[in-house]
Amino acid sequence: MIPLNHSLAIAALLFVLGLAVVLLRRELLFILMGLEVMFNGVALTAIAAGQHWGNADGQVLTIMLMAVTAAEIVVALILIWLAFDRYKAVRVEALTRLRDDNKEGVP
Amino acid sequence: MSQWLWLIPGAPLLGALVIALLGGLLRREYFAMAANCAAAAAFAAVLLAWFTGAASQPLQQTLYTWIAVGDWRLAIGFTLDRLALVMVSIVSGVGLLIHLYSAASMAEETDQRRYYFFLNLFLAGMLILVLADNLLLLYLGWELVGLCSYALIGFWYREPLPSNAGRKAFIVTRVGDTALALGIFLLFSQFHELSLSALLTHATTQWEPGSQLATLVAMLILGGAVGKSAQLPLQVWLPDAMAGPSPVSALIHAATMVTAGVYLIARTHPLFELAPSVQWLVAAIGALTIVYGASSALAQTDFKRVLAYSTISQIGYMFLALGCGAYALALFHLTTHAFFKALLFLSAGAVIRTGGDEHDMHNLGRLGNHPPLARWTFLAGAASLAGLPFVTAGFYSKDAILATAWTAPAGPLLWMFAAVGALLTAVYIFRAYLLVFHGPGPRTSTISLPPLMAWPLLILALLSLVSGFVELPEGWPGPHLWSTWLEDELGLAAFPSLTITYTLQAIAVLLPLAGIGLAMLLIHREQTGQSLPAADFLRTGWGFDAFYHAALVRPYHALARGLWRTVDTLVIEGALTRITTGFLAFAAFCRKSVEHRVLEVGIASLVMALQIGYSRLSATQNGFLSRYALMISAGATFLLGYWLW
Amino acid sequence: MHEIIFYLTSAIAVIAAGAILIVRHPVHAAIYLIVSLLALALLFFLLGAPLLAALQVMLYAGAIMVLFLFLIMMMNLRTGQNRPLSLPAGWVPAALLALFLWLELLLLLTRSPSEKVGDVTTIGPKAVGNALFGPYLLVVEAVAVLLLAALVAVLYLSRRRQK
Repeated sequence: MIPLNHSLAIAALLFVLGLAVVLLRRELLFILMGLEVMFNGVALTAIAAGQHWGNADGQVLTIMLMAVTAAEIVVALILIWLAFDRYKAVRVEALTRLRDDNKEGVP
Repeated sequence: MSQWLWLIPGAPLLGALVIALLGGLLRREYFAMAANCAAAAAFAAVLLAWFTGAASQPLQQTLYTWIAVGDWRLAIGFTLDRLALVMVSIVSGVGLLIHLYSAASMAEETDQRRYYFFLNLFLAGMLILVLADNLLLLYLGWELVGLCSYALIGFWYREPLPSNAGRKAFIVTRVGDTALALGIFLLFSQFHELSLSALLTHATTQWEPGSQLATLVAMLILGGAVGKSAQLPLQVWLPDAMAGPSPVSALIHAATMVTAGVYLIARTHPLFELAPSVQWLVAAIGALTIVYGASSALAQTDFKRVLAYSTISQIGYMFLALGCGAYALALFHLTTHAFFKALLFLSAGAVIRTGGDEHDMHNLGRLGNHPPLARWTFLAGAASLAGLPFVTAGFYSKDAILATAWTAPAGPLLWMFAAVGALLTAVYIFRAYLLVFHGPGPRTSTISLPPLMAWPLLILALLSLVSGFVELPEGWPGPHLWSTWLEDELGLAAFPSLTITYTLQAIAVLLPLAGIGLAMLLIHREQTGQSLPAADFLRTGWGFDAFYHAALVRPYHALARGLWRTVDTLVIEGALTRITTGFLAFAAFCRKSVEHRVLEVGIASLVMALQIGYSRLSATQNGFLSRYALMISAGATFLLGYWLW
Repeated sequence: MHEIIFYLTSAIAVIAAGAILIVRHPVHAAIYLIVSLLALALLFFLLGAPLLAALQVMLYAGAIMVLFLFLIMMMNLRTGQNRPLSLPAGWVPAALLALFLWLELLLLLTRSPSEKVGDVTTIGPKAVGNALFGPYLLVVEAVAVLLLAALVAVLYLSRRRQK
């Protein structure tokens, strides 16, 4: 059958692809989608491992993961909407309010 | 009943707490009601104890563990044996009557909340003292009553006289309290035990009679008892304590608190039996104090001071009985004394109150117009105090003590003192009675007392007349209920042979009658302008106050002033000036060298380094989400790589 | 046969995920994401977790993606607003980093012993439910609180601004 390693390799690949999306794309929506892909890579890991050891814990973990993702995604989406609504920002370059402005010298 | 024992001291304590904590919610007329309810609850609990068999079987209740150190435990526990039962009955019964009397007599005072708080707290403290089954709890009650006594003597604290009297009482009794504390420490260091019953058993089995330790412990306990019970030489606080309200004088300084010393000695009497010399000292102190108090009372002009010196003298009788080993008789006199002295104070208080707060007996006699009820009840109390034969309680209790004193070592001498005291007692109390109630003022009056004042007076008058019949004199047919009931705990008193006893009794019968005659003569002399020989000496209480002032207070002041002059100004201030100068020089040196050269350069370079580091680091805070994510991933990758490698 | 379907499906999932990296329009990215998620659901099924496969379809492909699409429509982003795909400056380190991480993960997998396994054991909804409401009941409650918190947060953030 399918060895555990193969499932895990595919999961790792999904995770890394999602990470690449987060790192390389600058649109907020794309970053969020990248995060989703990463989550799914983790979910695949959990299920593959759970099936391998023959118990339901992996599936339970995935259900929890889905719930957390759902909570995360609604908040993230509303924040993206607020960023668009207030700052007309669709790309992360426009949201640099955390920048530490050291031109003005030591605070 | 055992599990309700806590209610006896608990009810007044609860009342005090309610008055103190929730007093803001109560109208001021309710304070008296709350305090009376608490006192009544305590008295009801005592009655319940009587009816549920406490009279035959000691009750015991342990509330909770107070202190636990290592494997040593000290519990808050109460024991109600017969000795304690007598005491709680007197304390709660007389306490209740005086609470009721207060409700009427103190009704116009402004500071009701403070008054009733301390009155209830006093009752709780006294009951804790009496019920305590270990010495530490007893000491707690002991100090609690001392505190309340101080607060109530100084109740009118805005005037200098009461507040000074309160302070004096507190400081003088402190001398005795310290002795008692030292005695408790000594007992604990010997036996590692504070429980009274265990201590007394240990002491009687481990100490030789007359051994040094037993003598020392008995001396220290006697010191505590002398301070609290106002015996020579610590009696000076009691006459001044009369500056407080009359109900307070009646409750604390006549009926209950001053008898705490008697109770303490009766409770620890096995210790005194191990130290016969100290026990004889108790008797001697008692005998001396009888004469001292009675003679001082002869020359007083202040109505309440007569009663105060009388209290000192009467407690001397109790000490005499204790010293002769007649503990039950001491307790008997304590009981009758509580009744008639409370009665005397309360009726005197009523007279003083209707006389417009006049304390001088000659002025009171000129004023006249005293309430008849106060007059008759005062007469009953005076008769009982003087020990008029056959019809008064005071006769039976005092006569027994006189008879038993004969058997002690140097008995006839002690008896002489006590007999002289008995004669003088009749003289001074009837002098006071004749001065106040048979003065030149109008005698008939229709002033009636409010019922809350009248009823306690009537009840106390009845008790001070009839309560003596429970114990008829030795050698008489009739009941000896008191001594047989207390025999198991306190033993029987020794009496001389029957012929001597009858002779002594005959003299004791004649003494009060002779005293009344003498009092009439004395009044006659006073009205013709002649005064007693050495009246001033007697009026100032044999000059004890002046002596203490000269011997203790003034040297103390001189010492303090001397120390202030020499040590303070010369030594301490001089040293301080040196130290300050040296420190200033050191500080100047530090400022020049260290601060300018080292610190400034160091701080400047530190600041520069921080600035450089800051500008480098803040470049990373560029606000780009992607950069942050990249850094997180780089960190994770590095960590994983390190781990794999 | 089973293996062929598995590897084919995983290829689809990976390719769809990779496509997100390079498409320009958000709607296209969302469709690729759906494809990837559906492929993943099939993988779950093949691994013997039918309940999770169903949930994946319903929750991710059904609910979450609808939210994405709603937002894309509300923002009304046209292709013209997006700049033509140009990878941002400094993409090389990021790409290298991702690649390096994948290689590390693969290394990690090859190091762990690869056991021979038997047939697929299907763990059905009943077993999952027993585990979920048995030993993990407290976690379920915690997740419920978390969802409530998210709900409150969204309501708070989406309130109308008071001028």
